[in-house]
Amino acid sequence: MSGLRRYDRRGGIFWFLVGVALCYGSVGLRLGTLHRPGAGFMPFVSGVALCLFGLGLVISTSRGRGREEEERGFKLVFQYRKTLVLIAILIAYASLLEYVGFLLTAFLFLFLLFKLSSPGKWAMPVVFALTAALITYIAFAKWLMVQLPKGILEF
Amino acid sequence: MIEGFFENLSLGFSIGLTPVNLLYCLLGVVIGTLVGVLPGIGPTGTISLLLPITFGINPVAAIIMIAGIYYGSQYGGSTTSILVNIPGEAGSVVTCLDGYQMAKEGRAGAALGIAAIGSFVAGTLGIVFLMLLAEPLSNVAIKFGPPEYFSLMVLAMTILSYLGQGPMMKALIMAAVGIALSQVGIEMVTGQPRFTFGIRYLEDGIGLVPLVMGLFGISEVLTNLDESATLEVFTAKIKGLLPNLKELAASAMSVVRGTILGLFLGVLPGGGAVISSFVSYAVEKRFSKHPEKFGKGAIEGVAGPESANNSASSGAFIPLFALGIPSNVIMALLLGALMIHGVMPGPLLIKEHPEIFWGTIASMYIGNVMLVVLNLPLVGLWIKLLKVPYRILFPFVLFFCVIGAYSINNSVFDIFVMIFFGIVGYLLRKFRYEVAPLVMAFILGPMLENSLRQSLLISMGSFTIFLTRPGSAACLIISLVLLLSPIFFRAKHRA
Repeated sequence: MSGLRRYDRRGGIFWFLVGVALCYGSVGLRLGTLHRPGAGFMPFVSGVALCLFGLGLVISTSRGRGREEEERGFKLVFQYRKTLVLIAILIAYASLLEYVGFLLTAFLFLFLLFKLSSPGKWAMPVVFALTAALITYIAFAKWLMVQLPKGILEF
Repeated sequence: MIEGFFENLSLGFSIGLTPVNLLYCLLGVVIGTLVGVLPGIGPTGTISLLLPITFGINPVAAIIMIAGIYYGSQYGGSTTSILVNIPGEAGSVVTCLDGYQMAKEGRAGAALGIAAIGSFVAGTLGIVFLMLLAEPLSNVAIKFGPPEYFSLMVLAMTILSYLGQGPMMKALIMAAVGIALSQVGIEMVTGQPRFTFGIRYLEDGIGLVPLVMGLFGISEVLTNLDESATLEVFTAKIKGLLPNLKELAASAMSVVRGTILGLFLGVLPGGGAVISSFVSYAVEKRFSKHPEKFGKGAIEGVAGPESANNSASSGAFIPLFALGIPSNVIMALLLGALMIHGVMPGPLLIKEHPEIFWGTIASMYIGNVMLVVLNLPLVGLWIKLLKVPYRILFPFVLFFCVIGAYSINNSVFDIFVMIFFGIVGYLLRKFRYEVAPLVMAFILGPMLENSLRQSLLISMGSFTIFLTRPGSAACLIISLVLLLSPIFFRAKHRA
């Protein structure tokens, strides 16, 4: 067993376990009766469905013929560094937004993203980030009247 | 009846032609063409990105704009397929086959022209079909009770999973996850919090906008960064945007066939633009006297699929307006937008909110005319836009995602939810899971739960209610056949 099929088998087991956890959590919410379903009834149904489909996936991977077409183009490529940096920038933006304020975080956020996409350059990221931050600030805060956090700059 | 019909249509045009609605229609089709042209950003991501903006405007304008993005993207997608050999949009994948070959032969103008003409004819006929069919269908649907609705939703999700790419089990898993996610928050009947883990923000449930922005917007950017594809734009000057008489005659029947196919496949849940364009290509090859020319620049191979994907996008509105059940993920987002505006789609929508239905219909006629103007004389502008590198584009996409997620409730928590689903979506894409069934099930989840609960109340706790009512039984039997079909096919394959 190779490539995608191996991942699918592990995926099937993973979803089966998620389904079991969902059923367990639903029982704690009270299932009620068929006549009067409780809060846990529907999550329990979706948990059971998840278990069944997870098992179905495991079974289909052990038999799976005719999936060669799909397997062929499959190659798991992760650009860990770029992806993690991007996620870190997003998390930093969300964490700082209310303290530092929209305008400054928007500039920093865009500057870092442009820097990430064009590492060698300085002028382009600064100009693009500044222009975009100012335009969106005017468009959202002044024109669309969206309440944006002011933060330490207080505007 | 006919009088009432024209009365309604003129009401629609009186709404669609107001300056504000015209502006939103134009905005929708321009954005639609833009995202259709640009590979790497699709209409689903764009609509989810713009959902928060639509909250501030009236529901008719919001629906007009979202609809414009949807059918506009089908027009724009063909430009990229023909000139770059990369589909700008999933519905234009097959257009690459003959469209790009035509461009290489110096017939790019004819290919773009027939794509626009076919799209216009099919799009317009699609609207006529929608206009004529939605109301009678909604009159039938009024008689539906909770069991019929429950089974119909099960059928919609099963077909969506069946027709998706990759193994059906993976799509079904996604649907189950979507339903589970829709359960988070305070339960409506008992007032009990479900799976909130003590987080106050989760008591209102997971927000639709951060969820779809994460799954489509953020994860799309993360995935695209992994795959550093370079585009080679067809740069030769495009001559003559109208196909000659011989080419027009060759493609006339392809447009008609594509239109009819698209309409029927668009109505089916999970059908839509992608499948109809593939089926249309196969049909055209079958009908052609020169099937060997397909893949080498046959104009029928562009005319058929381009008509099919446009009429399918009109057809997809029928189940939403008539039954309140979306046939694809974009319609599900439209459903979400309507619900956020306090409009409950269903069989009564056309009667209770004629301004929404007829206003949208009229705007679609207007939008189709706008699109022909946008896509033919202005094609040079879109080609220039194709040259904007993705490294410039993606920071803006991410930036609009974070502003959009924040602006719904002025809550940073929503940004974190979006980032979380962005990572989840990225991993799901990596392991070849489709996220469309998840989003569709997430939106339908609460309705599914309500109809299940009401059905069981009516039947005093007996599941037989789903089988004793003919409409419901038919939907469940079809679902079961579809679910079991892979097993039968495999057995047959072995034998």
